[in-house]
Amino acid sequence: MKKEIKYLIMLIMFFFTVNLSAQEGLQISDVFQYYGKEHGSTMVQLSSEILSSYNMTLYISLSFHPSTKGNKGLDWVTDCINQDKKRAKKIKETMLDGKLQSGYYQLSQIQKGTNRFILFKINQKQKATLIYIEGSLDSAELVTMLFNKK
Amino acid sequence: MTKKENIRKLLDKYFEGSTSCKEEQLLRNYFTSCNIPEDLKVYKPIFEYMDEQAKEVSTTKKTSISHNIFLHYTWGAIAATLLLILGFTAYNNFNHSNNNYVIINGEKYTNVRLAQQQAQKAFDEVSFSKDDVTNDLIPEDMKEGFE
Repeated sequence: MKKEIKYLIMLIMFFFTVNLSAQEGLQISDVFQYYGKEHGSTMVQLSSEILSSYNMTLYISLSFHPSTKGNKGLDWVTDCINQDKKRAKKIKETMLDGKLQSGYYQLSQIQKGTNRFILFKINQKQKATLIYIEGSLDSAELVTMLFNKK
Repeated sequence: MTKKENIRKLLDKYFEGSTSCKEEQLLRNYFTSCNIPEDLKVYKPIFEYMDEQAKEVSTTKKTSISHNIFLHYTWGAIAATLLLILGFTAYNNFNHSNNNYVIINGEKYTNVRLAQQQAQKAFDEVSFSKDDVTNDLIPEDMKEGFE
């Protein structure tokens, strides 16, 4: 009986492990959460059934104007990105006057074959765009997609 | 009829194999008691043994029943847990289909086409052109020379 209970516990643990959201545990999830429902923001989430042709399983984007008041402004956003950057395998950034203008980060795989990317850009009108991508696509595929867009 | 005569009759019936359970119980009770006449003492070991056997069977039955109840509840609990997991997975899968959405100014829309358009728009924002690459590589003060 103990054996059966052990298997049951393992099954439950496996189930919950598999269902853990990949984005959770990243600091940028706070940014999505904070600005996602703000006036003037647009947040999109797409899942695997729509993204399969792009080899993505999750796509979350947020277009927003970082607050100029309070402690949740652009500095906080870049701090969150910098926290997640520590786990990045690949980093490409452009800075202006010491401030982050755009960033491309490939994080460590959440599980074998599942890559994670964070993309960030702030334009001249101070409109920021933050994207989190998860899927089997690799860095080269994503860069090709990004490069072909304009 | 005396008790002894009654027992003798029951004994005859017992050896003929026609006693009821109740009568056998009476015989066992009688022969496991202390006051047994000498002429009947010869049957005492038989009924003592039978009594022991009856008690053993009864204990085994009880153990078996409690074991069955335990198994019943354990498997019931396992089945309920599995059902719960399956239900949760199904709910998750159902929710997954609602995982495509766009929130504009705090309003949530599940229109997939709109979500795709907005996703594309955001992706375009972070994408870059050859000009962007050149601009990043060449410092501002040197650009005039190139133009």
